[in-house]
Amino acid sequence: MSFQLYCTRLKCLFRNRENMFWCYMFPILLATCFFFAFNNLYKVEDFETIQIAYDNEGQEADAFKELLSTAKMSDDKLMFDITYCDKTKAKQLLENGNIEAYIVGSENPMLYVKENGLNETIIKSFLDNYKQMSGTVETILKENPNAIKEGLLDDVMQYKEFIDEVKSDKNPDSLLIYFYSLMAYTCIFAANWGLDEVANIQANLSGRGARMSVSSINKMKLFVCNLLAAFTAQLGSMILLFLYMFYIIKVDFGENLGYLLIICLIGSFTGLALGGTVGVWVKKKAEVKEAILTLIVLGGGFLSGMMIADMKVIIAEKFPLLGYINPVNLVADAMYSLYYFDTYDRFYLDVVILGIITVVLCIASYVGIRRKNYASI
Amino acid sequence: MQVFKTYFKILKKHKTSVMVYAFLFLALTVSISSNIKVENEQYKASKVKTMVINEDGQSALVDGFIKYLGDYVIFVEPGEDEDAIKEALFYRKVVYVLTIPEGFSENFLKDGTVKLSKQTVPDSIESMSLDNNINNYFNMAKVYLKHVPNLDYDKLNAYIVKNIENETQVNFDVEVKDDVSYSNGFNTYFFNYLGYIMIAVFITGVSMIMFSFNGLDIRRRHTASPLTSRRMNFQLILANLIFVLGFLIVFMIAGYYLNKSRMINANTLLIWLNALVFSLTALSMSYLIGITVNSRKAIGAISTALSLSLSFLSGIFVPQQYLGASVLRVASFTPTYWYVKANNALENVTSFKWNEMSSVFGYMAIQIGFTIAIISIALVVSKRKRQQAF
Repeated sequence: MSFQLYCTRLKCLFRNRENMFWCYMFPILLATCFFFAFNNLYKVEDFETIQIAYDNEGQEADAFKELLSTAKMSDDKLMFDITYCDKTKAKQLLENGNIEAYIVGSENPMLYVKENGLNETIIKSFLDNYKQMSGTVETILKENPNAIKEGLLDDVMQYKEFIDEVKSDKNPDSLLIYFYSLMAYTCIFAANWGLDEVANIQANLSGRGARMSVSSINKMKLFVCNLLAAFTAQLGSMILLFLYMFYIIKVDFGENLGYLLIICLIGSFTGLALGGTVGVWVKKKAEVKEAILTLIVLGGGFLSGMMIADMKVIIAEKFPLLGYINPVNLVADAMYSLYYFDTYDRFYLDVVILGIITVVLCIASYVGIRRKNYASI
Repeated sequence: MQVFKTYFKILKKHKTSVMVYAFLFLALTVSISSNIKVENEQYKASKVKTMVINEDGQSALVDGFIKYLGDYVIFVEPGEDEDAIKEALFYRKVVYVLTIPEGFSENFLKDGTVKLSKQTVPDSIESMSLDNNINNYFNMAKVYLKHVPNLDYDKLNAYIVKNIENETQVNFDVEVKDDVSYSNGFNTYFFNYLGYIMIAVFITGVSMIMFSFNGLDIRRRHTASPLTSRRMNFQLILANLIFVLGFLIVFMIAGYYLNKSRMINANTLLIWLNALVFSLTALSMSYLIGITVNSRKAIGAISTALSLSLSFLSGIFVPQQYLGASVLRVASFTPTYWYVKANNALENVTSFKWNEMSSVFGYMAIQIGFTIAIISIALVVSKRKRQQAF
């Protein structure tokens, strides 16, 4: 009997197309957007060759020209595509937008640009390096006039990197904050299922609730069956989102997928309980309840970095307490600490706080639901 | 003008959802616009919070280097263990953790294969410029030490600092005043974001109303009424235009007052024109959606889905220059892409000569093209609907 109730309720849930969109499609849509929009950020490979013009003021032997024309952006991509012309022509080209900057003079090159942007910064630091190195040569020649013979110029040309990024796959990563908080948002979004379930069973909230109340079934039993169905539907959306992120977008979830599952389960449960509590205790129209939940869930997503990754850090710095009572942030933070920290201290802290919040919410909704009888409604 | 009046009666009913977006947007703008700086200020290097972990011990090279580093960073006490360092990075108590490995100085003087290692907060521009400073130091030090015999480290530092100060002079071909560049920057930012709000609000508002007018019973009732369908459509179009224009004007005024330089120059006027052109595109999209969907609830979903995905794809949330080439290629099939492109171009336009302006007008023309295409589809759809009804 219980199983039949469970199945029927599950069918009801899956036929609610609007809810299905928000729970199943929307997170995937957002994940796709994040993927396309942020994926390319901070990747060096995608810098394009920069169009510039160069006027060497009629110099015959020009080492700088050679340097410019051989500088590389990456192994097989030149840094600059150079048009050689005089200053007036270059100015014209810049104005027409054919080039991004032009350089005049080889001894003491001057940079002319139209706007301040990424490419302009690249050109400037290239020139800076050149100037600094030629300054170095000058100073050294004063001290040691024989240096040229000792291969000074070759040594100067060899610009080496002296820094290695620590290669662990656990660098702090803003992109992950977006994906984790999206996942956390999807967990807590279960609140909408919770709200539905409560409205569905409370005689004072919906016609169907009133009908349920006069039926012979034990209300708590029905409620538990319905909640289980909602939990299943929620789990479905979590799994779908996880598979999508894990296999298609290839988000790095760290190695502890078991722990990840635990935090997702707890988070979904928190969401259900949150929806239930709001449904029982807020005595307003259904729209108002939905708006309150949206505020908590979407606002929580915002505060945990779903729209702006820095938000998470700002909250942790300025209003740490807010981070600890925001369920979306707790779930996202637990995921992030699984990925980032080697120890589990922070993860356990998040789980315990989330657990306490869940228990409180469960008790609150239970107290609101139990033993309601109406002589007439 | 019954239809016209009814339009605004329905709009009034949905005012909350329209207002929510509007307020959300204004709140977001106010909070983020404080971050927009005049461009020239942006590149002034600030001192970076750095933790230096010296495993190499005392050596003249390292000491000299750390002294040099003091000009660029604020030193933070080294953390006790790996987790403490990670936590410091996580909360941005430090931005840059630099480890000088054992044997670095000795090796540096020989062949320089032992490298420093760093951990940084992701995506920080400061850390990139610090990388540069560190690399410059050692590259120069390498050359100096090789070619100047018996150079002492104090002198080495003095030389390097002197050389590094030797920066390239950047000349702006056209001098732009700070307040003008701030104002243009703000406008571009503000109106780019407004693109998102326009799509979201227009779909929520206009589609909702169009949906109400397109119910089967309502349409049948209309056909039986003495009001000609031409008259009715005219009133609807008028009402739509007034709603869109009113909305736009409110936000133009808001944009003007939020902009600290409060100036209206040619760039501003062109950006307004661009916004007007785009609002018509957004309106046509909303109209099409309003007459196609068959459930009120679907409109909310479409509004969110479409506004978010268009904004992400076409560079409203993430600037176009940071998007991948393939994403941009796909995005060029959306009107938002051209709207944002025009806004971005208008930020830097200075001469208003035809060769500079033609591309901007081209972008607007493409948006108009989109509008015409969408309206044509809408006409076909509405004709089919009319034929189906009877």
